[in-house]
Amino acid sequence: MSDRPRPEAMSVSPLRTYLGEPCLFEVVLDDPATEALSARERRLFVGAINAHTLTTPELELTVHLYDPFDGYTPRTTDDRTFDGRSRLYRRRRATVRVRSTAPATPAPVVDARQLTLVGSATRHVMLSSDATAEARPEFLAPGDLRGKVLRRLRVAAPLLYDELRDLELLRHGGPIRHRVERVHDTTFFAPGTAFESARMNPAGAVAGDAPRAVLIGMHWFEMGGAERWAFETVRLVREAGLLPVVLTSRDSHHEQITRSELDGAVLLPLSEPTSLSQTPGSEPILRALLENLDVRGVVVHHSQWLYDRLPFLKRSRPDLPVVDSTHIIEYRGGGYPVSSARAADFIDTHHVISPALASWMTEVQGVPASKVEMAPLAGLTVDSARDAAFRPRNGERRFVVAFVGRLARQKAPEVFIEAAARIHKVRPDVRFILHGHGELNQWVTDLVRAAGLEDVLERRDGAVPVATTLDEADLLVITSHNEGLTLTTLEAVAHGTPVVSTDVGAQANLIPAEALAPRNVHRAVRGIADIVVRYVGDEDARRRLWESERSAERELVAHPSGRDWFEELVSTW
Amino acid sequence: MVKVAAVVVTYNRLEKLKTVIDRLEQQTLAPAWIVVVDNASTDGTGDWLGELETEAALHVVSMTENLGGAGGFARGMSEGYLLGADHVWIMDDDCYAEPDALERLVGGLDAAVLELGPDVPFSCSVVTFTDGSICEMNNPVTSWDWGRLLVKDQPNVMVTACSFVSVLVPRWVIAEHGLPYAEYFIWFDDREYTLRLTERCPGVQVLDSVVVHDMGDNKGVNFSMVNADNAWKFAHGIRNESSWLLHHRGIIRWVEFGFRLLVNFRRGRVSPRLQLRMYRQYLRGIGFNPAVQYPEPPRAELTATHVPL
Repeated sequence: MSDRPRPEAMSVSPLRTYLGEPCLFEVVLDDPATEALSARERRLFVGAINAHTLTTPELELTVHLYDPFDGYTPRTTDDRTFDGRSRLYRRRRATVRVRSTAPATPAPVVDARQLTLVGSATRHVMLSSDATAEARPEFLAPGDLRGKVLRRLRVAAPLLYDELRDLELLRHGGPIRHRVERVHDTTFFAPGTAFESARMNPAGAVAGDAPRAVLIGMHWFEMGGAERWAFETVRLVREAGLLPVVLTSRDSHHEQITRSELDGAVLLPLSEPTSLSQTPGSEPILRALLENLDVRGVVVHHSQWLYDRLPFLKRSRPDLPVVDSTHIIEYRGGGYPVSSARAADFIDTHHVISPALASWMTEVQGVPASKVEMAPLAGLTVDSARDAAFRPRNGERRFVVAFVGRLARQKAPEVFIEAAARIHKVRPDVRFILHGHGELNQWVTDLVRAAGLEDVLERRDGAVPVATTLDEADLLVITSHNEGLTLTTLEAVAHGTPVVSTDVGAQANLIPAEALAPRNVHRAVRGIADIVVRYVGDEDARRRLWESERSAERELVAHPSGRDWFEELVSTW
Repeated sequence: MVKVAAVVVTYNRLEKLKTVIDRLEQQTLAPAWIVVVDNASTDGTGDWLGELETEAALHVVSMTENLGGAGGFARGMSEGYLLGADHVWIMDDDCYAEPDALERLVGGLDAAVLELGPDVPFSCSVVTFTDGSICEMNNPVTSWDWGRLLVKDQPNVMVTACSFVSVLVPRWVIAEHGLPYAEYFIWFDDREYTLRLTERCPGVQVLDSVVVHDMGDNKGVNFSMVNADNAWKFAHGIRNESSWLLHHRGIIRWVEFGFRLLVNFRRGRVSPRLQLRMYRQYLRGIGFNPAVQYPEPPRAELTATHVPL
């Protein structure tokens, strides 16, 4: 990862730069201490200043940058960055004075607190260290008694904890099964809401010489299947000669912000809450963007912040094409597909990555089929599975069962460990690889130790390429509580490795019923263990499984890929 | 470059305040900000401040009522923190700093940190009276190993408590330990605060940083001096110390304080009526136990759905 954008990236960005990053402000007074910032810190810092100067373009701002504190995520744009009333700002690192180069029509102020925030000419930004971003420590709030009990339970009886969690999630299932109410442009001003006195106040005309740009909303700058696709769309936007403006709103250390796809892009890594500074109907950041950049399209990737603001964007620029991309129906309230359905009146195209999700969008949510684009993400990490061949087992070494994924709740590493323990009892010759790191790292270590698998289960992290693990694996196991259509499945098939999975999301679009286990964790452990044991001893069955998955995968990739679809779309912007 | 906010709390001492500001403007290490907390003065201070122009950025906080030194310092320190200052330098409106007082305070703190580690919570000046003698009321309390830095050729004495007459407090201290108790109003706020800060590591008195305290009479105070004129101040001091001892040091220290009061009242022949009034304050300390405030928004502000313009 380089400190400076690549030359071709700069060529699409007509903007001035600060610390090598595109910016919408000029520096009145610099601080030599900023030179010591890492590539990641530069992008976060410049991104924070971009957001603040866009919010209050009329003010010359003094921006203080503070040292990281503990494992806290960067504070870039939340309310406290305006007034400094936070105990996180412990040691000042640098101070710069900046002035916006993106003037905008005044954004109406509707709340006394908002007036205080945007009236101040000082901003306070805190970043996390690169070391913290790399380690990503699990942040445990002190918590109440309930939280403490649940945490203990999670360590002592992980599957029971999962069952309780599923029970609790039942009450959030409504939007998954029934059509949700659509958002309309007065939803946020309804009587009784915080902004009932506010009104929709669309952005003014765009400046004549404004560069063409595309606004892209992401969850965060971390790595996951959805993010990989989002980064790819940023690259395609830039390749089409448009300026990508990429915003995120989820607190994160943003360790992937240095990716080359983001070179030359205007970055806005927001920290929440922003509801007082970016009030409905006023939307200072979006207002300034629309008036200073010729925004030709909007792409929403898992960004609730941007979903909430689509009414403003569409009322400001009715012809602005808006597309979104959704992957997974979350068990808690449905997640982003439900957000997409709610905002359907302001979205021109709903991109989905699996036939299952396309059906849900049209049949359950009533989105017209003409607005739903099913384009799988095949080819995103694997060029083509056309040349893929089944990889016969190397009889000289032990059978290898692998798990590849972030160590996060969604991926259910605990199910893999429990299943591995069960398999180990009947087939002690089987070896396991658990490949991934994440916030549950320590917990996973404890579970592996408690299960007595240390001698047969190998841990791998980002230092080892995923391809190496897939090449060694005889079976890939996906244990997720929740998925869309996993890219890892496609990758495994391309490597000639068959996949066993829980029956979640669109996994059934690729994996035959005999290799699917129920989602319920206890049944998943039993199911996955039984399926794996069956394939350990039956090489022919393992081959047939791969062939079946490959055939399903080829059927899927017969659809235009997400990349092809988006490339064509963005060429019309 | 270090950024310091000089914080001055004032109440009806305009002429002295003018000298204080003048001395701040003459510092060899110029403060980035001068924060003046006007405790609702009635002597024209507000008007004068309204027209004042200073080299350093001037921030005047006009209180609607007099919240005492404690309330003023809490507010002023918070203001300095929110401005982004690395340190706040707090003083009364009768504290005249020698030109290099701030530079020495910053240098002294940095030197102490090099020797003792990053936890050194403050540095304070030597406080002299207008005649050049030591100011009786403003002598810090030394730690048991007060000479540790002196033997390392630093002009620093390690201290556990001092008064709010030229004290340099780093911003991390405010974030971690909070602000002085505004509720104390007057007296014992400085003692409590600096004791709170030095629980982990002592502060330092920087011997070559000097300020002049232009107080009327160079006298120390003790509880034998209670009289009708000063009883209001002692009343606050006794309530505050009683509260602090009971809630932060334990009941034995609190009872012992009660006896100490008795001995002092007898020694000073304080009238029974005043003694009774003071003991009422002593008992008020039981129910008086303010919470530490930080430069953070109050909960009510965060939970309110809408605050009209």
